[in-house]
Amino acid sequence: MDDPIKVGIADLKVSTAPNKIVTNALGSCVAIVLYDAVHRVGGLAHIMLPSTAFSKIRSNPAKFADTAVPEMLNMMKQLGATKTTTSAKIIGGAQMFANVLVEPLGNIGQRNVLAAKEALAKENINIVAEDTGGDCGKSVEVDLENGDVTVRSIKYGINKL
Amino acid sequence: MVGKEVPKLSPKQLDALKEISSIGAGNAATAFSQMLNRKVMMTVPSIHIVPIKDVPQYMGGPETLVAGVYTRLLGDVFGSVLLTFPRESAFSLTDILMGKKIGTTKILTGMGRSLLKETGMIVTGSFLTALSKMVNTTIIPRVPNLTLDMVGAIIDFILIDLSQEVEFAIVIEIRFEEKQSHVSGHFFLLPNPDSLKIILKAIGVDND
Repeated sequence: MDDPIKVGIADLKVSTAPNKIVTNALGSCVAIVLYDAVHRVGGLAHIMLPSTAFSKIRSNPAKFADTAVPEMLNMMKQLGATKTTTSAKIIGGAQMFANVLVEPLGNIGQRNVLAAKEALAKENINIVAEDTGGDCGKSVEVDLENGDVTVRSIKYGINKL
Repeated sequence: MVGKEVPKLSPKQLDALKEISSIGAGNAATAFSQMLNRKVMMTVPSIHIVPIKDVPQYMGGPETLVAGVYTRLLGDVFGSVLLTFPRESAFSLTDILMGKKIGTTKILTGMGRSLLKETGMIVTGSFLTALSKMVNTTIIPRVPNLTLDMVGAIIDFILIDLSQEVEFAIVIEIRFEEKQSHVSGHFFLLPNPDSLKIILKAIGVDND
């Protein structure tokens, strides 16, 4: 099989079975995973901020939760996915250190998680699993064969979603 | 320096920045050496201007496991300082500081953690003292935080913070090494773009 498709920071990729998509070392960033189990099409976005309101540079939809979700859905549609058969998993949004960032970025991890949930609700996508919050880094692998998500962290080892 | 363009630093500005970072590094190396009572070497700083998403690559790769001591800077110069030690180095350093035989520490205890934080505070503080004297400005380090994790995860909130304003980060990197016990690590300074302007102005190279 080919190497897994890599998603960087503020990046998103979509693909089809039997490919795998990975993203590494999420701290306060959030990975939004979408998977259409019927058409076996999926995607992963590694977002940094809740919405475009948080940044002066807004050209990259993969950077924000509110723009990454519709963008990913569009790209998956091109590969044959439908919204009604697509569900979501979200990972990340940790707070690596308490009280380091000040407003408007206080507890940015949690805000990213909430924003991801809102963006998914807006598109009527169900969240079937999540591994969010806490204070440790996580790496994510999505298997587009079946939509299985493997989360690896130093603290908890492997968690299957 | 707000926006998408790559911040341009002239060769003269880069040299000046390298020069003041070297002096800071020298000060930090002295403090570190005194603390350990062993000779700690620091390299000439390298300065990278890289897209935010590539910063973890410059810190050894996103999944590299490190003990990281993070210090946030307030005052006239905003930014972040991160001191990273490979896990084995963090353990050896704890052994040296606790007067134990190298190889004793296998896990970071409360005591080990506070010693590493203190190391971070002293090394970072002595670097910043030199820097603030040279640029004649106030730099206030906050209380350091420590964690053992993937470096990409440790720093992503710094990148999130920067990404509100810019697409590029300025990474000033200094490697340090204590040869006898193979303690090594990295010192990273990530000034906020506006703070970099203040520094360049203070050393008289803002218009070069």
